[in-house]
Amino acid sequence: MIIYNKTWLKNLDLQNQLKRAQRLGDITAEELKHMEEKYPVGFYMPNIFIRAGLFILTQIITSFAGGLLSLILGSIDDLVTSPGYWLFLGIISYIALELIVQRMHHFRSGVDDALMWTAAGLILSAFIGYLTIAQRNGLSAPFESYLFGFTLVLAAYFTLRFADMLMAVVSFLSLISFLFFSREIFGFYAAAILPFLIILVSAGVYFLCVSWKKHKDYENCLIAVQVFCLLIGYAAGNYFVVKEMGSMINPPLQEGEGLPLGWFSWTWTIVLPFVYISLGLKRKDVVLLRSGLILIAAAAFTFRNYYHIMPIEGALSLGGAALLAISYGVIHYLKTPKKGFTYEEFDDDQLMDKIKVESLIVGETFSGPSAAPEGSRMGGGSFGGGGSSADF
Amino acid sequence: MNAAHYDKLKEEDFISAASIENIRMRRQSPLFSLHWELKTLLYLGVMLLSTGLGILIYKNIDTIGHQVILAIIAAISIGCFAYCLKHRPPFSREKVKSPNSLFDYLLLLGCLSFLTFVGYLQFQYTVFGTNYGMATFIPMLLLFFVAYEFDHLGILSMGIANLAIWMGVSVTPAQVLSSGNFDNETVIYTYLILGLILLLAGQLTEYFNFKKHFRFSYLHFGIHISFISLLFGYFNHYSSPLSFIWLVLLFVLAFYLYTDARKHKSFYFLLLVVLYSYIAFSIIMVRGFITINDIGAIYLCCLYFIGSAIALIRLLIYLNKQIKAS
Repeated sequence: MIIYNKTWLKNLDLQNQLKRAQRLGDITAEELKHMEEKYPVGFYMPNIFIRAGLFILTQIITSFAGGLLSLILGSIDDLVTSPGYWLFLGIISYIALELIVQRMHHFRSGVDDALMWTAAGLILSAFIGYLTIAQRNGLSAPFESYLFGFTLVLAAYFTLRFADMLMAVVSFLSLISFLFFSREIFGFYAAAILPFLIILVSAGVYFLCVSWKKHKDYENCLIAVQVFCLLIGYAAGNYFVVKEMGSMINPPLQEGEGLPLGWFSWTWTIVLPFVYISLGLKRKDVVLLRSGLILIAAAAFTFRNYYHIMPIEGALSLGGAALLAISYGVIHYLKTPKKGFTYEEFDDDQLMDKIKVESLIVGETFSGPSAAPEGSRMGGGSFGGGGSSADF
Repeated sequence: MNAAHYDKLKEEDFISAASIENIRMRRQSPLFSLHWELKTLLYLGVMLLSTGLGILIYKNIDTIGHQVILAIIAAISIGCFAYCLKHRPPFSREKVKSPNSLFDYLLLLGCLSFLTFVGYLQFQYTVFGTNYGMATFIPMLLLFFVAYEFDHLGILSMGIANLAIWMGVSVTPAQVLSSGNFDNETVIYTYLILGLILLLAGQLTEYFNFKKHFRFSYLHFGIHISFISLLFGYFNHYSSPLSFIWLVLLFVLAFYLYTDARKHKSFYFLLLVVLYSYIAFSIIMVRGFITINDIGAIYLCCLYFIGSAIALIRLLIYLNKQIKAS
């Protein structure tokens, strides 16, 4: 099913691990070179900058080529606006994609990314076009169910064929959306059943991904889907999400009325992130650990949305101080590696280091404070309006 | 390293026994690094704390408590700098590896709280009077000084951003800025000068061999700012017959930066230069197509973009190979 040369994929994996071993100082550069020659990888896979450039340029080519073709064919009645024409363009892009990958061995080069998304987008719009026509002729079931059902199949196909991470995520999210929009079959109890159903499905997909670990070719896809399973599974039980989604489906709750099974949602909201983190630490699983850390923030926001214990600035300052204290403590504790954990950074990504992402993020987010006071306070009041509200 | 690869390695002839032993040890007791998690937590901590303190000061500005808060902020700033001074590695003209990320982020927190402090002083006591240039100039100097003294790239980026703000403020008075009434031409010239200054600064770091690794930050901001201001300059003078001078300037700059990026083997700068020049060139071409004033021009335009993009893809692939080979 997968389009890429399987031997090369295996060799690529081996090379990556050997490169890491070389960075760690386990093997010598010479040994690495020998191995690279013995297990060659024939893919064309440029670095991230060239990939971005090729992506943009391929997009330019496809859009102008499509435009030119439409311009030439524009004189024929209704051809350009018919869904069949979009399908035709989509199939052309797909054929170009297959050729580029099979003949020229592009592997995440930017060209294949661009063609893949163009082809998928065009085929999807053709489907939407057909769906609209069908609806006009009296199709009864909800539009979105068909739409997301089709997206699921399409993205799953692209995932299997090209092992693309983002496509894998899209197919999982389509599955969830499909369930959400097909809720009518549950009738009156939809709002009550849906959260549990989505939690169960997310958990199921998560464990499937874990058990499919041996499929090395799809490793990245599986990891990406795992992350989203954890996040969606959490969101489906989160108090805020359940309440808002519930009032979207059913008539909204009265003022002061609690959510049925509110205790469950609150436990889920607060406890689950910590469960993720502790499991992540116990199993040394980065996916669980990082998802848990992100979700703590979500839990904090949910809690603050309903209970205002202290004003925002106090919460920010205290939270910030607590985070600093915790990290200080952990760094201190891990000065020498303990229990298999270390603070040392040993697998640094060379390329990301080259563009110094961290410094750019710091410069981007922190250059405000000194600028804001002088200029805007001068204006009198414009700064003041924001300060007292909670959205600061 | 997983089991299958490990078994494969053992059978290889040219992998030495010592290397196999290294890998075996690594497999036996794998270490799990919490580096990035802790770094992110530190970043968030600094961000939340400095934002929270900023709001706290603002809300309490007219109450008795504000001097206490001010003292706390000063204490935080002093404390952070004290920690950093104590743990700092000696100054060097080369890259100095920071002791750990905690050091980096405490330094950042120190700078941020100092900035809040200065902002407060200016607001409450107007220590710099109505000289708004001065009020941004002092923090900027401090940021650059700290960046060089402690070798901190993030603070250097903040300093560069403040330089831009300072130049914006001193060229257009604060009143104009707050009313949003920009005199376009002045702003464009200012930013062009800023971009060129940054590019020059980047090259000088290398010329004097003084903190060479700061070159990236200077060039990153310099390239974006100067190319964008050159493009805007062109559009601002679109109807004038001399507008092409802006684009000529752009191509001259692009050529210089292109040779420079080739010399330094920098994919990132190479990509930026190629894409900005492509935009400029396409602007000329499209302007030409518009003057033709015929339906055929649209076909030509489409063909131009298809052809030029294919050519550019080949160029990028070729350059990539060249840089890798050298």
